Amino acid sequence: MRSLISAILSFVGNFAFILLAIVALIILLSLPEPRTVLAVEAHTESVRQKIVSPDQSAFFITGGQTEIFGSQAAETEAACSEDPTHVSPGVGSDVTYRRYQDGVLVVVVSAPATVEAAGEVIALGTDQVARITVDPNSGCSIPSSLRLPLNGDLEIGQEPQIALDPSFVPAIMSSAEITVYARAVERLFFLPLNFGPFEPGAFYVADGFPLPPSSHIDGAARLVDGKLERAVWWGNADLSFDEGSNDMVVRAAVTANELSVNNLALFDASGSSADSPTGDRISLTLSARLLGDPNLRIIYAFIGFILIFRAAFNFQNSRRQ
Amino acid sequence: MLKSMVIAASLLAPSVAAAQLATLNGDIEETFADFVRVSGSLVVGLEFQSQTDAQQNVDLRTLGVFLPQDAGKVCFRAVSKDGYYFASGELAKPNAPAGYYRVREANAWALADQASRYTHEEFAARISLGENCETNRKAALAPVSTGEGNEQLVVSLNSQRALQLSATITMRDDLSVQGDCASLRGSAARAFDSQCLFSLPPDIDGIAELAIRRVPERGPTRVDAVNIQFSKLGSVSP
Repeated sequence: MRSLISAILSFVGNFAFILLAIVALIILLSLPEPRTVLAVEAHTESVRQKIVSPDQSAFFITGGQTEIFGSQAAETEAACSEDPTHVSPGVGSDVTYRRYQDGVLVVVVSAPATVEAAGEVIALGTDQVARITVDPNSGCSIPSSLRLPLNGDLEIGQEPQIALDPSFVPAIMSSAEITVYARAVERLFFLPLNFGPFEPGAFYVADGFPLPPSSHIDGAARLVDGKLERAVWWGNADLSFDEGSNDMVVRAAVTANELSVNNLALFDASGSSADSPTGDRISLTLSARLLGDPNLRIIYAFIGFILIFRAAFNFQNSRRQ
Repeated sequence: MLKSMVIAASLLAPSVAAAQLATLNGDIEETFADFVRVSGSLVVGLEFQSQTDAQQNVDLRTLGVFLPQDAGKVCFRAVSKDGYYFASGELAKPNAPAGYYRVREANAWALADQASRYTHEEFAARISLGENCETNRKAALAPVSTGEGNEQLVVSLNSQRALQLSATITMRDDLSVQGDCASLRGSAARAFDSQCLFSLPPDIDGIAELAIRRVPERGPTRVDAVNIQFSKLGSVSP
């Protein structure tokens, strides 16, 4: 009789355990999408940004030589500017920081923008561009380092190109490290996790990996109603003009705004495109999330504790029998 | 009965006419791959189009070229804007008078379906004239055409991220046409990144010079020139 009760209890226990496992799996798979933040640290020869926040995108350059090109632009001869050149790009302006192996930095600014150089304020016409060259060998007085703002929709690195003439050197992104941050789960179905050890919305590192050399990041996007909406990045580009430095690149450190888990960023490891469906995509995988979320880890620890307790209980029972 | 015969005849007529067109025959190597074919030429495409052609899907079987009588071998090259579709090969012109010649591929355009995913706006094709035209960068070019609606000449360029781009076609002293150039950057534009549109007189005939002026990201302004062989345009005739 006692063994029959034990067998029934064992069966009920196993059944309840299987049911609990199924319920847990359903809960885990039905978790709401976490909010994520993407950060990139890249060593690249080119960064292009489409300006969304003009006040945060203005900058000064010392020792630059400014030229204006366009239909109405007077032919100007590049000359060293004693005073810092002040660039104020407007919304929609394209600003590119381009570095060459000999240390030269070329900053290209398209309209709408205002460039203040050598005491002259130039508002760029619709088809005009400003090119500011900082050349360590020009004899101009240039700083040993420069920090420039990055703010807007970004393209880091360039698509593959072939040089057709000596003035063109394809730009590459030599290395990039991606870090994906996420916020911890805030509720399980209708149960808010705002009690005990849980920390709803806690920020954590969910994933991180290097990108293949010579790849190309074409911004980040979030999926809104089936359409990709471009994300806004913010950060800085650091450049060194030290003679002894071998680091003739733009060191870009940027973070994108909160995104959905899918299509965090689109990059290009094999010449494919972000705009094309074959573009390589970075997303927060379910496995990375299940293993990284601190609140889920507490639940796993709790389940683990129950399992150990159950195993110990069974072991005790079997010894008694 | 008569009505259906008329309908059948009208449906068959274009294909019969096409079959009777003079052709440039050759073996063109086509590829469609998930890697980029970046153009090694400044002028990637040269095509006559009508206003509506730009949005039409490409049908390789309708591509041809108006050629002068003395044209011998020509080279055909086509690439999609994203660089996935690529075709290249040498074609022989029969010893025949000047006129319109349709490009006939030995394998009947095996990748025509893949090419038809692109509109004319997203596709560049060009024909260069002379011996070794595949490697001869100085070879004169002849505009590709579907034979009808040659309202504008579309020049697709690999400007290499030029900051400024302008193009002019000059023929003798009395004809100089400025192109309307636009950048295609930011939309998977790798094989070519700019296009210039030219409105040319319909009776243009002879060699013209296409001068392309670029302000590169670095260094002085560059001007490159290529010759274009125009043959008097007419509608396609068998």
